[in-house]
Amino acid sequence: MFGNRVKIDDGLLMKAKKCSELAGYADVEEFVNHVLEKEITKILGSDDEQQSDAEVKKRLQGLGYIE
Amino acid sequence: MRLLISAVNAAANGVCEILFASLRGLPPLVALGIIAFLTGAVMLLAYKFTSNQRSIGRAKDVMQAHVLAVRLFQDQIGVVLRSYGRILRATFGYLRLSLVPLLVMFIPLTLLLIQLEARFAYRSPRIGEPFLVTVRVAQPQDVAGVSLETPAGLALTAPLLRDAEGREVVARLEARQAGSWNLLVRLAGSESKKQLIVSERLESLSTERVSPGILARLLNPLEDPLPAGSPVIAIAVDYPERRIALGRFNLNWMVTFFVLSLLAGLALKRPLRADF
Amino acid sequence: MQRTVHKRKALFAGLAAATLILATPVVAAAYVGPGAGFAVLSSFLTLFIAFLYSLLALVTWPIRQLLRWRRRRRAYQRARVERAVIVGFDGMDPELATRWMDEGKLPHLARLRDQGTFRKLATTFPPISPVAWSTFLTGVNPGKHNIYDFLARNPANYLPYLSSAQIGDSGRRLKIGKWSLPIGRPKMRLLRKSKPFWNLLGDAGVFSSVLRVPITFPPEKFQGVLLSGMCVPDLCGSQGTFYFYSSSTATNAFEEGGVRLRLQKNPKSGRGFAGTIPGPGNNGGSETRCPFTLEARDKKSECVLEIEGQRYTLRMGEYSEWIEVSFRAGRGSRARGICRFLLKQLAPDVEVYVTPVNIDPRRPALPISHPLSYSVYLGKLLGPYATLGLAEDTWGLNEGVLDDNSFLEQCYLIHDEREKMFFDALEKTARGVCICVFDITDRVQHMFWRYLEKDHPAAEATAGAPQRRDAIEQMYVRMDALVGRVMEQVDDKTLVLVVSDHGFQSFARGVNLNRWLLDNGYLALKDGATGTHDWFADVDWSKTQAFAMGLNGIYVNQRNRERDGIIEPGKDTQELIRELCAKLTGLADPASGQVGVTEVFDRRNVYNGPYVDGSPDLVICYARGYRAAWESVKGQVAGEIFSDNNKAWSGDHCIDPRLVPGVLFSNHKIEAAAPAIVDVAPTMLELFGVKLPAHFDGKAWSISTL
Repeated sequence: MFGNRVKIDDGLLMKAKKCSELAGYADVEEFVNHVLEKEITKILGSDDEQQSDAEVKKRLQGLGYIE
Repeated sequence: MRLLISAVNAAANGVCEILFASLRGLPPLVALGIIAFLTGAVMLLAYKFTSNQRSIGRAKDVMQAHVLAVRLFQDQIGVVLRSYGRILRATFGYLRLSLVPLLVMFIPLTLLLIQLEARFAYRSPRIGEPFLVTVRVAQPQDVAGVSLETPAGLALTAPLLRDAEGREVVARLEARQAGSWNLLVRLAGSESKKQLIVSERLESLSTERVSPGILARLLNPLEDPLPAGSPVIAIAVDYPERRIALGRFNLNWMVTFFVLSLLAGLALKRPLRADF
Repeated sequence: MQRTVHKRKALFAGLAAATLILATPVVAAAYVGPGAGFAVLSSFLTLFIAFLYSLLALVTWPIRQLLRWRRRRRAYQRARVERAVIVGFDGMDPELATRWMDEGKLPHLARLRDQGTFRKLATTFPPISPVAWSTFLTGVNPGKHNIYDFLARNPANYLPYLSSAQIGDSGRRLKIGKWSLPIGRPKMRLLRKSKPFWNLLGDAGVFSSVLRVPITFPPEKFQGVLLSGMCVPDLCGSQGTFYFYSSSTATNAFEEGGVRLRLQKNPKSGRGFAGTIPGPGNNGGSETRCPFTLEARDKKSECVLEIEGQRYTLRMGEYSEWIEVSFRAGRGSRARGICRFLLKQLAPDVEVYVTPVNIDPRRPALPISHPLSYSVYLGKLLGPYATLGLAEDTWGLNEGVLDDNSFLEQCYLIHDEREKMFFDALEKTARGVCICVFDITDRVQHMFWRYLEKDHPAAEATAGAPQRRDAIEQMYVRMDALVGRVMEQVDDKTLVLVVSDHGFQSFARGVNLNRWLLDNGYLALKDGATGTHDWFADVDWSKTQAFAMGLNGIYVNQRNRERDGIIEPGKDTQELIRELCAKLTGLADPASGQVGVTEVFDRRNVYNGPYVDGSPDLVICYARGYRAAWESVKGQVAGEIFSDNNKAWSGDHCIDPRLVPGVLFSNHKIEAAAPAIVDVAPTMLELFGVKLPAHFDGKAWSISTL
């Protein structure tokens, strides 16, 4: 209900805020999420579903721009 | 008109007798539940086929939409106020659409409720249980001339109480034996009968025998009216009131019937594909 | 005791008589039992709930007002307008608008031009709706919102996925014996990054109503209401799969966009035909189905459809109303959808077209609005409506299942629903921002551009079908009338913007970049492969340096990034990018000698931001009349580099963004050197006195008369 909370050192949070502004994120939350996603992918690999060609075709079916 | 009412009453009595024949030995709540379920189903179908289901569905949707608008646009006070107005308007529109099915259902339901009242509103007195019978007369001076003849299953347990001002004679009786009995009321050479039932089962009880009259006859279908011009204008039996036992609660039969039939309607709404 | 009996009967009689005399349902309802009870129950519940809401609102009102007061006071005190209305016309073209304004066919837009503003609105690299509208709503370039195309590629398997949203099951399963039941809601992730400007306005207490803006699915929370648009899937999870039923034994499948299904003789009655609509996969993964029957009437132009226990009359050539269908999604739950039927033919074979099954907005299988109840509200108020992102069935027309007339009729049926939604939102949004994007402008131009050009290859290919040569012009006239109605609803204190995300051009010739890469030694096929298979199934990655996927992108097959990458990151990659830019820029069509590719950009020159890594390495800008070939977009290599486009889909905009700017109309004077779609978000924030965040790329316009 109140979202997940992780404690971050105040100094680190300040730096994260600065980085998020410099890098062009909308806010520090977006920055933290992106950094974590990248790190997690490095360690665990991508969690993207391994889709078959048929599944890919089905999901994109009807998208007018592609055949 | 008199013939028509007699025919209607005869038909209603006949149908209900058949319907109740197998329910008579059941506990009142179970019997009422079965009747409520069947009534709910029949009324739902009647509602379905006599109403414009499409328009009713649409009207309900619009009402719900305006309710949602109150929540969605709660910051926009103008929208909220307008939505209240629209909810009211939509509600009246919806009720207007329900008018036809209501009118169609009105007569059969009234007849049914009269029949149900005779079976569930009162119970027969138990053996040894006292109860009152009231004889109403046309003229105050007739009060003195009223006499009662009790059948074998009933007994007078007190002298008659004569209230000339109220034009009533009240008799205190006691049930002695189960059965269907006729109480004989004599007055100035005329004799009037009143049926009285002493039974442990669900019986159709006529609480009052009345003078001729359209409404009076419709509301008291189980006994013929008193002859026209009779000095006795009504004979009423004060049967004990029946409460429908549900756990710790003792409920009024009509409330119970109303709730149960509505629940049946709600439960059958989807299977019968009816909207209301 | 005796009196009680009399009283009860008197009451009984009184009520009965009163009811009959007055015929007042309320009184009847109070007494007559279940029938009347049904009637009253709904209205009573409605009133009761409304009352409860009011009571709750009343009790909590002082606290809520106190909390909001501080925020709102600041927001609206600093605001320069009470309300801003943005009418989005996807793909409205400034050149066509100018032509028809000058001819006096668009009087309301011309009035805006003459009394307010009409400018070309610079679009994004590439000028594709999901990219441009994402920039519109976030105020940033694609490098910061992560949308570069409809498709994105998965470097782990070279397969595409929808760039804007990811939908999967919750991942949680309940195991009971041999059963494994999914529990929880489907897992949905919006892949578009950054923050919509209405979220920032909402944080400052400004309310917004947002309708059908692309790339808003799954919907995000904010202070306001939102109905998702482009890329909302159909009930089966695709972007729109139509069904074509026929009693004929012909079995040829459609190339794309639809499924051909056989109507069988009705086994139950022996008369008429029976068919099933495929639904979403159920727990076991198998497809669910919704059966229906069709029976011809005596009249030769009608048949009766029976589905879900309801009967509907289908008339030849007329769309049915929205018809509810449902599919068993698991024990005790059903996924509910809506679709329209179109009876095309009764003899010699029965032929019926069925639109993609849209998510039913009144009982949505997936959240398609914020709050969830907003889609329900619209559905209850206006009736069922199309919820699919790309609801107009362009493939139905491409495949010849729909003709010009039935396609246009479908477009306008959908558009009419959206107009109603928009005008309701306009009425409901007295203060704040009201935005609606209309898609019809894009779809009609895509499908009818062939009639604007004398020698468009698609005009000849589709010549047999009924022709609607004036479809685009008529559509502009209708949109102009819509603008006129909007202007009647607003005063001078309201800012009205009419914007489009890009313009339009012809799509006469396709460019197969994968073929070019093959011919020039940058891409290799497996031994013996023909290159005709989709999604690079024929490509030998160990010898491939670069590949084209999607509408405007080329990716380098980079080591440690792509699964089988061979080009080292850094210098080698940059060298390859430079080489490809140089060779592809100015690529000419041998058939005419015309330049097909105007320019190719290194992504670093057009994007900046934290998500640039996900973009194509090269962004291709095509010339007027050219676009990525159908085969190239889906990873096929076979075919000519340049080929004719014969499909009804004959106009496009996925070209050089400088050639297809959008439009900007306003009822106020706007001062800006070169207005761009990226400026809309900062302009909105500035109008409502909200501080512009540092990550914005756009600049707020000066609106002089406010």
